Amino acid sequence: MADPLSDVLKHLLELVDVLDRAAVAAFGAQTGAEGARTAFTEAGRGSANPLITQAATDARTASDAARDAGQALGRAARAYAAYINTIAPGTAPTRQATPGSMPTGEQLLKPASGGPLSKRILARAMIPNFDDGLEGLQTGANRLQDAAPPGDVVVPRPPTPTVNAANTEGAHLGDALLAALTIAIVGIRASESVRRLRERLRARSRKNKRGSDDG
Amino acid sequence: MATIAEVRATVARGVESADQARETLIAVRDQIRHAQQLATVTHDSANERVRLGHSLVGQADTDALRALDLLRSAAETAGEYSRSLDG
Repeated sequence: MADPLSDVLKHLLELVDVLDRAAVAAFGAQTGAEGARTAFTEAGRGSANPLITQAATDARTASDAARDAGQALGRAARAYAAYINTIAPGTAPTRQATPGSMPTGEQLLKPASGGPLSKRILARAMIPNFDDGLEGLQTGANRLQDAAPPGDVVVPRPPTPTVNAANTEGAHLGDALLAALTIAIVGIRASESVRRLRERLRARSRKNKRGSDDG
Repeated sequence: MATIAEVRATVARGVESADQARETLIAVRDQIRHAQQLATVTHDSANERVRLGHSLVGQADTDALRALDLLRSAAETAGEYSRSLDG
């Protein structure tokens, strides 16, 4: 016979999960509504027709309502998770992220200076001059190259990205996906940079070797 | 200056976005319904967090329904605009 408390907890944990997924979907609907607004605004550019203006206005208000729904669902999930932890401490993942930890789904989508945080995080990982950030790495590599015996190429390894398990525990699905995506992109970019650096160092090493052979 | 065909294509793109958002919101309301069923295990609870959760879920449903109505209205109005264009 099942423990009644276990049954209740099972229902409540499923409730939190359903609310989290609904919140993510609502934010997705917000994005769709925003896309509609953008298209209607573009279609109405240069036109005084009130129909298309009204369509754009409705789409924008719909976007706001979808965002509000997502925020309410996220808050509801946190409220129920807190209740679960009241009746069975430690059962639900903690929803009280420490400052500076992973952002919540709401924070990722919330407009802020410089655009949504998700966009800024991804932009940081994808900007074309990202390699500039690895200048220090190359300088260090050059010093090691100078110190190393000719023919031995020493290339520092790119930093291994790590995720704090304590932070991901309370993160939403969207947060975890974003973190994984960001790490993947950063990893790819860093690997590319190190590969180019390694090629350059090898070429220099060969040149030095040829120089010493000629001399 | 965009041609009428281009404007119609842009409107169609917006209507498609609005329709997709509506489909997503219909799914959100289904999830809300499911959540409300799951929350019945707490129906006799006077806990502040439970009451807040109930209230927020109800509010989310109202917001989702409002967004649905607005998106339908936006798509219909945009379609009317598209049909009103000459050519």
